[in-house]
Order: sequence, then C-alpha cells, then structure tokens
Amino acid sequence: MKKNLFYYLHFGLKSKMLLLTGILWLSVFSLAFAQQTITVNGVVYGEGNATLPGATILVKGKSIGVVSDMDGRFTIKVPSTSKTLEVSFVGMVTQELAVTTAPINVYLVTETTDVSEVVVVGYGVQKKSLVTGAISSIKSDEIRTTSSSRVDQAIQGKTSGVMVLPQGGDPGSTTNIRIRGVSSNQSSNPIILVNGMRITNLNSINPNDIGSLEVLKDAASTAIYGAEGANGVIMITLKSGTSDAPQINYDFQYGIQSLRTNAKMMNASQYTTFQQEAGQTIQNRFNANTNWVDELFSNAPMQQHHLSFAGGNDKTKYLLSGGYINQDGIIGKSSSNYTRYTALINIDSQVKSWIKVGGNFNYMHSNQAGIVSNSEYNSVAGAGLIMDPLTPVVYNGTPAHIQTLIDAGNTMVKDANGNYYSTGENITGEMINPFLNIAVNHNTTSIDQMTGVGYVTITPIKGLNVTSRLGRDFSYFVNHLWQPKFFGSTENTNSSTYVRDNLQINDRWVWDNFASYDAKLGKHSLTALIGYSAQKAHIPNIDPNSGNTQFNTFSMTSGPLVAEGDQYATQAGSVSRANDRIGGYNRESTMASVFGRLSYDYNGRYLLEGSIRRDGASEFPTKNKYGVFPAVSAGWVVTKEDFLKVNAISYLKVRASWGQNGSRSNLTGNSDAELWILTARYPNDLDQFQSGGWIRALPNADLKWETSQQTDIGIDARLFKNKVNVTVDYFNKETKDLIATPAPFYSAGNLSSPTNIGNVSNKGVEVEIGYTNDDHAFQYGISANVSFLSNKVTKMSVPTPIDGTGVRNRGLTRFELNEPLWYFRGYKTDGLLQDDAAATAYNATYGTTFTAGDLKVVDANGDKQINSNDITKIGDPNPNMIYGGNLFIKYKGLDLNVAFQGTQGNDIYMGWFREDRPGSNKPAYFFTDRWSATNHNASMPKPNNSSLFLYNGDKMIGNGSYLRVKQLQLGYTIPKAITTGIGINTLRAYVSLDDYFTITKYEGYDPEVGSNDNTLQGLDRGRYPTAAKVIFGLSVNF
Amino acid sequence: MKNIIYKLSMLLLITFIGGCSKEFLEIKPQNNMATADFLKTDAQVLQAVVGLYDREQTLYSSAWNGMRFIQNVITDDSQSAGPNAFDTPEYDALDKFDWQPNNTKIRGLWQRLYEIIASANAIITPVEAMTTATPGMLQMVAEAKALRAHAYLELVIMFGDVPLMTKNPILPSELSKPRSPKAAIYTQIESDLNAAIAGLPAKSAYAAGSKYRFSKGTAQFLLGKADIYQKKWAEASVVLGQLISSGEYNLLPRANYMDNFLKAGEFGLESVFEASYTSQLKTSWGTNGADGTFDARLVEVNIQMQLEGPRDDNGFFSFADYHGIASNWSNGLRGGWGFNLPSKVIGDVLSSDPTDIRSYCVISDAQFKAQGGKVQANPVPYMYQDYLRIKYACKKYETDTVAQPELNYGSNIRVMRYADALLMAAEAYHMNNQDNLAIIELNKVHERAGLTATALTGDALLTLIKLERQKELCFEGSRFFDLVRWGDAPAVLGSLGFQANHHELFPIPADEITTNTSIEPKDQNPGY
Repeated sequence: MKKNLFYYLHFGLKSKMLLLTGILWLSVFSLAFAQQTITVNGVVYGEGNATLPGATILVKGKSIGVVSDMDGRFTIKVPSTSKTLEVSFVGMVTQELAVTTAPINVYLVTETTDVSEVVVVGYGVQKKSLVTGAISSIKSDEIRTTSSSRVDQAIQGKTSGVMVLPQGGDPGSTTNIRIRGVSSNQSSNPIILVNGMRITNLNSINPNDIGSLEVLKDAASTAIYGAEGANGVIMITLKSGTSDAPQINYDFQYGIQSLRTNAKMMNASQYTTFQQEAGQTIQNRFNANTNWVDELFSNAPMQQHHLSFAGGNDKTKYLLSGGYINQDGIIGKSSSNYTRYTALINIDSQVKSWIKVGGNFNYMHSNQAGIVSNSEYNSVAGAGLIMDPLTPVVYNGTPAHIQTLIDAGNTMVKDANGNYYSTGENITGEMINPFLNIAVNHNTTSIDQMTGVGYVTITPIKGLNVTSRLGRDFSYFVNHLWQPKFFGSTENTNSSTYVRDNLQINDRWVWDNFASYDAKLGKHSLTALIGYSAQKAHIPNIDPNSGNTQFNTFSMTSGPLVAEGDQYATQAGSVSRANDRIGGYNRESTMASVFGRLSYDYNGRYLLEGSIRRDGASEFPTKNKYGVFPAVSAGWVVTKEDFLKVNAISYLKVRASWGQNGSRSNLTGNSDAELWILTARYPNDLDQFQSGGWIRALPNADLKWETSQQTDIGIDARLFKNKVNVTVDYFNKETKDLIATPAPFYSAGNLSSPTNIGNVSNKGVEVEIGYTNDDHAFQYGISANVSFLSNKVTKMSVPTPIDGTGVRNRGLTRFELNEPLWYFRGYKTDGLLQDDAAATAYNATYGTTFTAGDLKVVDANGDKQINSNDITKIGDPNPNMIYGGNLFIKYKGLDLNVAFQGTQGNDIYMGWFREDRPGSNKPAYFFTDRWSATNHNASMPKPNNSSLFLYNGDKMIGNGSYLRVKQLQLGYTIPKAITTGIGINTLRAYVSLDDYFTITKYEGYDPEVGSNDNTLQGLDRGRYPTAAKVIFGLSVNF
Repeated sequence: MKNIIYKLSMLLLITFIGGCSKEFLEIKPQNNMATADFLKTDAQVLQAVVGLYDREQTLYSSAWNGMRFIQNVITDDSQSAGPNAFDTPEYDALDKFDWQPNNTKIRGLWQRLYEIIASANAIITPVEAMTTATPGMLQMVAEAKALRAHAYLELVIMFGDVPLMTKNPILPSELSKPRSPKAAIYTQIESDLNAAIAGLPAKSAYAAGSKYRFSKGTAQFLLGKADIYQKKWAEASVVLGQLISSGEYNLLPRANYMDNFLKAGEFGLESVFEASYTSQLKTSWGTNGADGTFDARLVEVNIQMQLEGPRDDNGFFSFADYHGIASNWSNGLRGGWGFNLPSKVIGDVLSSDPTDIRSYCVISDAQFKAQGGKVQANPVPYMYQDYLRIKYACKKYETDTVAQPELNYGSNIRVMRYADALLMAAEAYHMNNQDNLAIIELNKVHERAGLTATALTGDALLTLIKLERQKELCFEGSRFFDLVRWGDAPAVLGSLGFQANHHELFPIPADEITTNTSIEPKDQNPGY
C-alpha cells in the first residue's frame, strides 16, 4: 500500500468534510420567506374507491398540512414555490401529486410493505421482500426512550437470537453480545459496523443517534464480511437529515435508580446460631446487626439529554446532535458514576447527478468512576453478601483493637463524619469493609473516541455505483488509579501510597472500495457487487492490565505520593522517582479482502443470491494467511404465485441459505515463530537487574482460520392485511477449527499458543411474531420473539478437556467433547444424609466419615471413594431459550409500552462464597432451610462453613431463568392544537419503570450475570446488579 | 464527460488493488524477537541465560508453588498452617500425605522445572548448531546445561522416570514424550554436568556482578548430589572432594551462621548457588504479581517469606512491637500469612542443645512470649505447635519498610550451601568405607555449630550424619528426600501418613497424563 496516497486522501476528505459542515451550518438559517399561495381542492379515495376520511395532505418539504373530512374532501393553501403535495394514510402507500389549481382525485392503494421497506445489508441495502438471509431489523422508534446508555442493552429482547449479557450493572459497564449462541472461545462478540465503519466500543454510540439497526444472523448475510462475520454482524445506520422541513428534537430523562433483589442474607441472630452450630468461634464485640445489602445500596439519580438538528433538501441532508448522560451508581453513588458526552455530524449530498458524497463524524468522551466488582476476593458488591452482620459499618470512638492497629503503625481510615471504618469481626482475608474499599480506591477511566467515515459514490452509467469509503476509529483510553495508605485486613492493606496509569490507544482505519450494478431485463432483476477492502489496526498500550499475561509486563506506577488527593495523585506527584516504572506493548494487525455478491430475482418471485469473500489477515502464519468464505441463498415468494391468492395471506416467503464465515479471534500474530519475551530481569550479586529473556509460548505453524458454517431455513409471512407478521428460522451453525489456547503441554516446558482445538455446534429455532392493529383510534400491538438454542462441543483436536479461568484457584468451567461450552463442574449431591442410619450406610460404602445432616455426595466416577475425582458436570450456563416481547397501546394522546425479556434453562454458579473464610455471611436460606436434629427433611445441610462438597458443588448452582420487564412506559402526547400554538410540533411526556420487575428464583443480587471472561459466563462473584429505574422523560420536536 | 466519470470511478476501484502488496499482511513480531533474529551475539545469549536464572528464581518463589515450601511441608519439620484448615487445602493435602495426581502444587513444580529445561534447550540447541559460536557463547551453553541438569535432578528425585526433553518441540508430533527410565535421566544429568565442569569458570573467576551464576563448583555440587542419589559413593566422594579442595568455598564462622539466611550475608563464602531476589522494585498491591494476577515469572521478590511467616491478624500472633523481640537472630519479626509453621519435632531437636547455633533457627512459645510476643489462646492458632521459625523468617530488615513490606522481601534462597556439600561428602566417604575422611568433613559442620568434634565411626557415624543433615539443612527442602533415600521415611514419617512403596515419589501430574499422548494412566507411579 502506498502510505502517502492514503494519507492525502484521508486528510483531504477530512478537510472537505469540514468545509461542507460549515456550508451546511449556514443553510440551517436559510429559512423560508414570505410567499404567494395557491388553493388546491380534492377528494381522497381508498380501497374499492370509497372516500377516505382522515387522510393527511402535506405540502412536501413544509409543515403545512390538512386532514380530509368525513367525505374525503380537502382544501389546502400551497405556497407558490411548492410543486408537490403528499397524501398519506396509515396502511396506504403515500402518493405525491403535482400542485394544480384544478380539483384532484387521489386514489390511495393499500400498502404492501415490500414496496417501501428496505433493510441494510453488507455494502448496500436490499428490499426486505427480496432478502434471502436471516436479518432482524430494529428501528429508531423502538429505542428512542430507552434509559440505557448502550445500544445493545436497548435492543435486549427486541429480536430473536440475540443475547445481551451486561458484564456488570455499574453505570457504563460493557456487555457481551451473543448472536445465535456461543461459538468461539476468544471473543464471541459480533462485529459492529456504524455506517459501514467497524467500531470497537459500542459505548461511543448514543442510542438516540441510531436510525436503524440490523442484526445479520445467518451465514448468507454475514459471509460478505468473511473473516469477521462468524459471530454475526450488527449494522447500525445513524440517523440522517431530512429533506422535509428542518427539525429540532430534544429528549430529556431524569431517573431514580434503586436495587430490587431477592438476595436476603442472615441477620445477626441467624448468623450467630448458624456459626455456633457450625462449630465456629465467633467474635461479637459491638453487638451490631448490620444488613450489609441495605447499607451498601442506595437510590441514585441519572439524567440524559439529547438534542438534534436535522434538515436539508432533495440534494443535501444533514444531522447534528449532541447527547449527555450522567448516571450515579446504586453502590457508592458518585463513586461509581458514569458521565458521557456524544456528538454526531452526519451529512449526505448528491452534488451532481453522477456523484454523491457524505460522511459522519462521531465523538464521545466518557468518564467512569469504577469500584471493584466481579471479583470473589475484593468485590465491593460481593462484600454486601459476605460481610458478617456482627460487624458495624463504622465505630463510635476508637475501639481497643483499632488503637492497637494504629500503634502498630497502620493507617486506619475514617468516614466523612470522622468515624473509623470497621474491620471485619469474623470475616478475614482480602474482603474488607466495602465502604472502606470505596473510600480508598480512586479509580477512574476516561475514554475519548472519534469515529469518522467519508464516502464518495460515482454513478458513471445508470445502475452502476462505484463507492470509495474511508473510515477511522480512534480511541484514547486512560485508566487512573490511586490509593492512599489504609488498613483493611492483614491481607488487604496498603502501607505506601501509589498511583497507576494505564494508557491505550486503539486506532483502526478501513478502506472499502466497491461497485454495484443493478440491471433489469423484463422480469429479471440482477444486482452485482464487487469490492476490495483493506484495514489496519494499531494498538499501542502502556500497562494493559488486562489479565493477559502475554503482555502484562509493567505498569506506569509511581509512589509514594507527596500528598494524598486527586490533584496530587499524578505520576509527577510522587516522592520517589526510583519507584516509577513504565512499560507496555504495541500491536498491529492488517487485513485485505476482495468480495463479490450476485443477487437475482425473477419478478420478485424467485430469489437467488451468492456471495464470496477472500480475506488475508496478518494474524495467520504465511501458509494459512488467506481464507475464502462463500455463501448461497434462495427464496421463493409464494404469494406471488397465482395458486396462493388467499386473502388471509398478504405475503409469504420461504428461504434457505448456506454459507461460511471466519474468525480472526483475538490473535496476536506470528504464531509460527518461536518468540522471546525480553522483559525478564534478574538481580545479580550486586542487586543490579540483568536483562533476560524467555520463550513466550510453543509455536504453532499450523494455525488456521476458525470457520463457521451455517445453514438457515426460514419463513417470512404477513397475514390478515399485514396485521400479523411472522418470521420463523431454523439454523444449524457449526464452528470448525475453533481457536483457543489449550492446556499447557507441561513437559514441553511452555505454555501452549492458540490452536485450532475443535468444533462447536449451535442449533436452534427462532420465532418472531407480531400483531398490530393501528388503523383505528384505539391502536395496539403485540410482538414476541423466542429462540431455542442448543450448544455442544462436537469435536476436540487436543487430548485434554480445557479448563476455563480458575475460580478461587480451582477449575470451574470446562470445554469438553459432547458437552455445552464451558459447562460448570463440581460435586454432585443427592440430597442429605437425613439420619445416623443413612450416614452409617453411606460411610460403609464409601469409607467416608460423614454424619447425619451432611450432603450425600454422588460417587460420580463409581470408584467407591469420595474425592476430587468425583467432580463432574453440575450445570450449564447456556440458556435453552431466550425470549422477548413488546406490547403497545395507543389511544388519542395516551400510549403505553411494555417491553420484556428473559432467559430459560440457564444455570448460575454462585461464586462469591468463601469456604476458606468461615466467618463470611450466607444467604438466609442456608439458615432457615438447614438440616437439624429436628428438621430431617431439609434442603440445605447442617451448618458448615468449609465443605468443598457444599461450596464447590451443585448447591452453588442457582436457577438463572428470569423474566424481566425491561420497560413499562406510559406516555402522553399533548394535542397538536395546543403545541403548535407555542411552536412545537409534538411534545410527549412519559414515566417509565425500567428493569423494575424481575421474576426469578435466583437468590443472588441479579440473575442477569455476565462476565468479561468468555470462559466464565454465568459465574456470579457478587456482581454489581442491574439497577431498577423510575424514569421521567420528555420528547419535544420543533 | 461520461468518459471522465467512468475513468474516475475505475481509478477509485483499482487504486487500492494496485497499490497493495503482500507485505501489507506481513507484520513482524512487535514486542518479541523470533529465535531466528535472536541469539546472534554474546550479549543476546547472555540475555537468554539471564532469563534462565529468572525461571530458576520463579521455581522457589512463585506465589503458590514455591518448590522449597512444598518440599518442606511434606516432612516432619513443617506444617501447612494458615488462618484455618480450609485456606490452603492443597498444602494441607501435602502435609497429610493425601496428595493426589490433580494436586496443582505438584503440577506447579513439574511445570516450572520443565520451563527451566525448555529455556535451557532454547539456548543449547541453536548455539551448538552455530558454526560461528564464540568461546563466550560456548561457556554459556555449558552454563545452560548445568541449569538443565539441576532441573532434571530435582525431577528425577521427586518423580522418578520423567520425559526427557533435550530439544524443544517444533511440530505438534514432538510434543508428547514417554517417561524415560531414571538411569537415562541420570546419564543426561551426568553428561550435562561433566560438560559444565569442563566449561565453567571457578566462582572466584567470575567478576563482581557475575558471581550469581553457576560456576564449576555448582556443577560439582550437583554431580556429587546426583551420585549420592544413585549411591555411586566413590564417584561422589571424588567430585565432592574436588569441590572441597578447590578452596572456593568455606563455612561462615559460628557467630555469622544466621547470615546464611539473611539479606546481609548474600553471596557469601558458604554459598554455592542462591536464587536471587530484590526489594528494590518497591512493589505495591496490584503491581506485584504475588496475588497471582500477574505472570509469576515477573515477580522479583521472595514472596515465600511472607507466605510462610507467622500470621498476625486479630490476635493470632501479635507482634506488639516489631523491634521488641530482641534475640540476636529474631530481631524485628513481622507478620506473615502463616502458611508454614515448624513442627514440635524439629523445634525440640533444634532447641535440645542451646549451645548449638542451629537452635536459633526456631523460637519456642515460652521464649517468644518472654520477648513480648502474644499468641492467641482460644482457639490456638491452626497447627501451632509451640514454635515459630526464625530461619528464613520474615524480618523487618529483609524487606523494604517504606514500600509495602509484605510484598518486598528481597532475601535470597540459598539453594546450594557448602555445608550441604560437606555433609554429602561425609556421607559418601562413610558409605565408601572411609570414615576417617568422613569425620573430617562432618566435624567442620559440627564444630562450626558450636559442638565438640566427634570421633564416631560406623553406624553411629551415619546416625550422626543424618542428625546433622536434619539440623543443618532444616527448612531447606532436603529432609524428605534424604529420608526416602536412606529408607528411613516409613519409620520417621509413617505416623504422619507416609506409606511405603507409594509416597516415595510424587505422582505424574494428572494434567500431564491427559495432555501427553505417550503417558497413559497405567504408567503412573505406584499407588496413585
């Protein structure tokens, strides 16, 4: 590639965009001036030539309009400069008419959606009626009033086959998205394209800026993205300007968030009894009865503003918008705050008949104050579950043991009222008072992200469009952490202040060049697309701190600080330069691709499509650098046939597709070379560091693409005058040569490197069904989607099952042949040994020393011994079914929206328990349901703080199924008659209960459990729960 | 016009195709060097050798798999302690002779030792194949061989027959190697050590700054040890005799005995090899790696000191004044995490004779309390048997008190000590029927401790040698394997759970058997 050419083009485009922006800003102010008018009279007719009352007649491009009367008649005064009228009615095709002084008759025909509805596909758009792949579409109206800051959370439950798993409920937390199940180990997230540009951080897009969102699910739709499409594609189309009158939209929300949970822990008296029965000596010096869950959570405010300006004319459209969100957390309030600013400029212009240019520029700045979450050792949220109730939050005065600790030179921290934070009465180890944890961890992450895309499309001959599109996604990430001195417990203290920064730049450009040609010959329609694409990512990083040992080398660390406080906690504000350390890595990757697609239809009845893409990626060894990803699909619009002219069926399409996709996973490249890490060091006999090196991992010259192959059969139907919509899909997705890092070959002396380890199958059925009745004043509709999934490892190319990331230093999840991906392992139990006789019999068989009230552990391997070899499958984090739905009712100005979403059949592993910390608190049901001499039919064993059969067994598995009402919203749109008087087009106010009602049997904080680790899905380590929200909102359109 | 537009659009399409070459997709390693580009100069080979020492350092201090700690906890001189019985179940299993093939502590040892072997192979194979290797490079090959031999010696002692990897696998088919008989492993060890003895300089020949490296004496020590474990007494007495007569080493005087285990005495006269650690990084929580979140190989501190130190929380052990414990050697004890407490057995053996300097290696409950220490009474700390360890204890001056003290212990672990060489020589001479020579070497150690010289011979001499090894080398990882090779393990450790024909060897780690296609479950050591 010629670098210079690229740079000239790149910056050239950018400067032109700036110029255009300026011009368009000016045009905002060029409003209409006084004009002469023409009066137009007419009658509107509908089906069967009956007159149609209530049709809207608008002057095109103006906000002048009337409604036809009971006889379908209308009279409208049209400015002499206007040439066109638009006549519209719900369910009818909008007609445009030339302005004329003669009376006109307008005949509206019933809309068959295929005329107007288009969906966005890879490198283009397609009529929905002609689509042969499995694509779900979500329009902006469905997400406009969301209280989520993230698009993916806003679309949760809105479409089949898409699972959204927040990594945490803390404001600004990221999510994992799974389209049609989990099929990869490294990253199962789909790629996300915004106006064709791949972005890495979905947080950078304000949901309010989205015009439409398409989820490409089957291989036929995604194969055009070849090496990146294996986990599905989400295509976001930003809102664009309008050729109508300029518009100003303002959306406002204010909300109160709170905790709504099933989690109920033991109180002081239950805890005391439980511990006594468990034989645990406990300490109760302060006579406290602290409900840590109640103490820890509080109501927290949030607010959002979004303002947009849209306008333009037939040739040029523009949109400018700005958004702001400020959200406190329900734990620690401002200590887990998320603040985000977004701005968007989007312009398109048909400069000449043969050239169209456009571009968008999106900017985001966010600031997140983070508290420790999702860790079984030191989580603030987790502390609410395991801190013992005998520990007060703070002390009055200075207890003796605090004085002793102070005398021993420890730094004890006080709260704002000058009271010392308590140390655990009975909890030991790293887990400390969560309020102290919040007070001493000053952890903020700020991200600046800029995404810009520019394109030019040339039409040299009719039907041929040649497009060159260049985009750049650039983000700058700074994580800043500082800690004062503190004492929390022996194992969680800090006796010297320090500050640490982690900087990362993520820079990617993509250059797409493609040409499409549309031809129509009689009833034959043909669209051909060919293209070429190149991209490069560049990720320099200082202290990744990602848990990835491969790179996790140094940190930019300083300390001790000159003085404590935000203003001093910078790298320069430390006393000793000797402590400063800095390190990091640089990562680059490139990909070059050619692709093509051919779509053919005969009279909109028989549909055929084929696509192919060839990708070359830098991450793969030379011999396996290139991958070819084909797809074919076909459709048959049965309703176009004469034999299916049934009134009830407005539209019916049967379609089938097959295709292949790839995945680059999270590879770092050069797997075929034996690589040395040169950051090792060793102190010599003079205590001077010598520089050293080791081999990074075993090389793997055979590494190749992870390929996913998918077959999809689907039906799209619209019934009863389009009132009912049905889409059904069956899919069978086989991911081959899955890339993962297998267990180390220990005697080979090195860690393994990424290897193609096996195949995974995901099969399922997806159903989307909707009913809308909106041609009366009382409008209502209901829609639902449901997906049934099954997930299984079908082949393993390495001899050993692979263990997921350890939990408390033991394997919890496993990747194993014929099992679901990353299923849970532990001891299986079969109730309790209810009495002495049962225990004696059990001990006689297994040589154990169990007593009545102990768990009856299943001898899973049948060797008549009970030991760690009996660890077996105890659960599956993958749901069998996910579903969602929506209900709306509209009457006059009032509207009600209910959105719900849920999962069925997935397990959660309650991983916050600490069997090595016997003083930790337990859920109340451990006490109330426990076995005792008088309660032999108990579900929980007699009190026990440490048994691995309990704490590493199936009693830790919770039922993860849930049904959540995502939104219950009641809105009122003030009648136009009132609002137009004050210059407002529409004004809607609403109240909404978001994430407010959840039906679940799960007894942790929140059944919606995600994890940042792909191998630990469904593990709840006391994760920050999703907040319930009461929202007051306002949408104004000028 | 049309023509121009057409040309323009075609230009757009083909610019990139024409301009983009194959090089676009080739990205050289960014943060690492490929072997093909590395090991070209003496300095680069030295960097690889330093990496090898860094691996060796990790072997002893990796936060949860320290080799010395594991070797100690299975003996009669150390207990797996901690805050309670549940904190470290795998160490408890080791202590109670209840270890299983899936014990990750044992797997950790296996893994670390093979990492040393692979790192050594990565130097030996390419440099030996070079036609232009410099004398400096060849000396470093000898050094790498000695380190490799050390790893194999530890493996063969602990696991018996093990896979013999002298070349790193390149193809997947080379990954799995069967267990080679002990004899073959010893042959490789001897061959490597003989090459090292021939190729390495004496300790004194290394310049300051390089004295941390394996010398001729280190290789002789290891060869002597390998011979003793094979009961090749004559060969052992020859090579250990050469080590002793080299004059490169000597015992520290009695008054400085404890310096052998303190920062102050690092790289002293008695040191044959030590794993080097440093406090200079002043690491803090989150950057230290000791908590297991970071790559253990990057940890430069001796975190084992903290792990094994007596625990000081909420009245477990209370150090009312860190300076207050005024005994010569115990000055300034700090609180640790308590994973290791000494047993009553070793406590009694060591303190039976207060004139024996080695009695300073522990402090009794009574002494501790007399010095102002406090011990929780109810319940008594888990596994506390009335002694605290002072040898290698976490003392104030062994760490950095400004930075996080618990994370910055810099004391070296003396892996090979001259005293051990003398006791091995004494044993070899005795077994080779040269008691006159044996008592000379034994008395050096005996008298240094403050005891009167012995003139014992025969079995009584052997008994004394064994006692001297127990006392002199307590908490230094030698005890268990000494008992096994002497055949004394069932008698001494039987009451603790040792079973003959079973616990002599660790099991091959379960994960090795499942990954390695050349080792089947039936190939496992007896009793597992």
